[in-house]
Amino acid sequence: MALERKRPSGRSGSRFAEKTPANKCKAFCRKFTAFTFSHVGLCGLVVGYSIMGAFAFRALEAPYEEEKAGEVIDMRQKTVKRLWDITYDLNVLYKDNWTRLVTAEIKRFQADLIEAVKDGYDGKELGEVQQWSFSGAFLYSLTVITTIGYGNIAPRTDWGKLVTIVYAIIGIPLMLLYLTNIGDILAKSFRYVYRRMCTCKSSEHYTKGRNVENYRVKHIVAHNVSGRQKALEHGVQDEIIVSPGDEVRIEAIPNNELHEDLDFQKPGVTVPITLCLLILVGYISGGAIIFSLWEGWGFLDGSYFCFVTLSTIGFGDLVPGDSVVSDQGSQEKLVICSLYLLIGMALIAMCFNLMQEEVIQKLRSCGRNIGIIKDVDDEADIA
Amino acid sequence: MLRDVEEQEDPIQRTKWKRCLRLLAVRLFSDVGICSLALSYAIVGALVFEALETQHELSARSEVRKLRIDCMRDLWRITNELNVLYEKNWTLAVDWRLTEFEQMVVNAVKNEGYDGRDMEATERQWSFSGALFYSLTVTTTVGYGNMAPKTNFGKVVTIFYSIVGVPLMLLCLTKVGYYFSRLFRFIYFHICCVRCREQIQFRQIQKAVNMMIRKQMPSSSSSFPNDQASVEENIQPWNPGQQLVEETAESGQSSPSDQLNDYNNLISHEKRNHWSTNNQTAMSHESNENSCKMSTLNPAVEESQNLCVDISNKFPYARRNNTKSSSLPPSFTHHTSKLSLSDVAFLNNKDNASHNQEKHIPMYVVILFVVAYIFIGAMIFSLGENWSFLNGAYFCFVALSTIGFGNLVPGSYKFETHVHSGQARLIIGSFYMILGLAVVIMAYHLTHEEVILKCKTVARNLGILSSNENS
Repeated sequence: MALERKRPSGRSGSRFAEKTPANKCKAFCRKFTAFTFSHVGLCGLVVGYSIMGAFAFRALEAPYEEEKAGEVIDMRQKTVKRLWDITYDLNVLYKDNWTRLVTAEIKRFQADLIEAVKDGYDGKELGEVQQWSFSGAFLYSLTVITTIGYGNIAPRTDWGKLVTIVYAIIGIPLMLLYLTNIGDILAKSFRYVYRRMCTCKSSEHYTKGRNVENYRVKHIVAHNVSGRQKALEHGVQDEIIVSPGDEVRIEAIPNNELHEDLDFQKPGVTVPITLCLLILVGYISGGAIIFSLWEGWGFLDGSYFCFVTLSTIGFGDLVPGDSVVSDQGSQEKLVICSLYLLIGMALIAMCFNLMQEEVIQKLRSCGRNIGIIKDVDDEADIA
Repeated sequence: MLRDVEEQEDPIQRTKWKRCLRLLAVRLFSDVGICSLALSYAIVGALVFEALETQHELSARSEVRKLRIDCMRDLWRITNELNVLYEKNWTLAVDWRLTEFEQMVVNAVKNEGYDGRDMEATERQWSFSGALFYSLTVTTTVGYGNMAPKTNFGKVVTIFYSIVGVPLMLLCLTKVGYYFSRLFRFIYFHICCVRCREQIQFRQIQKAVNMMIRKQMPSSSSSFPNDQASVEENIQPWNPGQQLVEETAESGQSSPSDQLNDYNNLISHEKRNHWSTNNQTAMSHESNENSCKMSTLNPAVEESQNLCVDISNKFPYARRNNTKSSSLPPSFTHHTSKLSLSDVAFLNNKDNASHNQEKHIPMYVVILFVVAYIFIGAMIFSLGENWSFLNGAYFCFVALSTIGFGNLVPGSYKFETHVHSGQARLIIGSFYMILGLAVVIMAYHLTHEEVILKCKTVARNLGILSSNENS
């Protein structure tokens, strides 16, 4: 039983004193940082951080990519040259002989090629659209800070790897902050809208099971044998003295009512889990349809891609805008993919927020029914 | 649990059934149960994925072989058809054909999951250990992608597998991380930190004393007024006939038995006292939580678990005339030779009030540990895989942060020195990954309060937070 103490609300930052330039500047700085860490600011911060990362990674990795593509062309030409040498050297072309020698060459070429692909070569010719374009680097930065980590684009230079590590160390907590924040707001607004819709239907919709657990103690009243009463008021006293034989009654108020938040008119209306799941499934399917149409994947591939992305698993085998044969509009696809990513993760954060309480409640009741969790009454009976 | 009504209706059968079920569920959701569940889930997943994807992998190999043979045939045809071999002509044709071949191989590697092995190679990517590695990367959401399902069935199974597997693995790792944190705390406080060892000894004495005192004291309730005496005030036992011992800040340590003897004397004196209600003062604490905690910590005060009973009020006190300095010297808790009874209780309060802070491992220790883990992994992998040290560290970091790019993965084909080395390296890699994630969770456990506190302080200094709101 934690008794809440109300802290005296003090304003720490009010300055009635001189408005010197230094103070003004300080106040402005403070306001600016406050805004930055507020909701809108956080969103902008994440995007800004990704853009900054995009520039950095592009500068680090694009030259290497060009180099690599050049290397593969080189390799191919060398192979051709060697083949020519073989063909030329054999004065009489016996098929078996020639085939054997050429096969060895081709195998070597294949092995080198596979190495190059694993090292970042993606089959696109030099001069065409590169992997590390701006939108590609932007998507890459996003995959780093969301920990999705596709890997179709990955740093190959040493500097790129170091910068990735540092970038991730700062970016991942930033993204987590962003997600919690955004999830919070979205959940609140969603609840508000949902409640509005519920009241529009004019049904008094109280929750079926009020959580017994989410109560805060407001009052402890102890009745003495002689009839005297000592009471403990929330925030007034800390302790109460009881003797054996006293009868203690605890009055509690539901947790919800303690919220000093905006819009809790009717406590207890929670968004059902099915609705949240429906939203998620709908978002995944929508993305699947869009991407499968664009990329020529099947619907299964599209939903597989969306699911793998949003769960931050991020295989990277299927990424829009990254086909072997370069096509038009791959840059736009990458941008759309990044947006999809950002919005999708915010939605997931919102759904987690919405589902949390109800899931825990359901698990508890489930556990109680099975008998894992003992009821409080049972314990009291046993004790 | 067992409802009486139901019991009457269907007596033995139902209770037995329910009891079995309950036992099973309890076992299942215990710590060991969760971990073994996660492990068996991974193994089952490995078997399933191996069955689903092996076929495709072998067919990809034969595909590439076919490509190569086609290319060969075309090259021969080119060579044969040109009766006179002009280098330029021939080179052009061959180059063109090779480019085609290249495109198709790249497609095979990227889209079909071809890994460069020959038809004749016995090892597969989707062997059991490979599939186990894959299911671990799915459930931990690392998701390397060097191995990814290519069959439709594999993709569908992956989706549903991860829906169940990710929370399960998270639960398992949290528990393991929790145990790791306890182990870490134990090692740190009992072995590494000399200072902490002293404190632990001291605390053991306290506990023993408290138990003894509790047994001797009248168990009747004590009424205590609501004075808000400050913690720092020193308070003596009431009986003036007692020998009070001063606390000394710099005295050496005394043996536990010494102190116990003192307490025995004090207790026997105490027995002849009677309670003086007037002079009792309640020791207030910094917060109610501490007193609650304290009362639950002290096994002797079991009965007062539900209410916050102040243990110090079992003793009669009187205010000391000469109050010492308001704040205790920090070495007080370490170097006291002899203590009075009140000081014991006082220390009990203070100690338990600062119980939380004492058990705090400094953040840099934890961070250092994580960094050391990454370094060790970097060394192992750079040696085993013939990577540079930076590549090894990069791989470890990418794995532990669950980013999981997949361009550097242990057990790759290139350095297969002998037949099963790839498999062995994969197993080591997965083990490292799982352990590392547990270490990360352990670090989070140990430091998150401190981090949040620090962030709040910083934010408060910056003026973002006032004392009320939260960001």
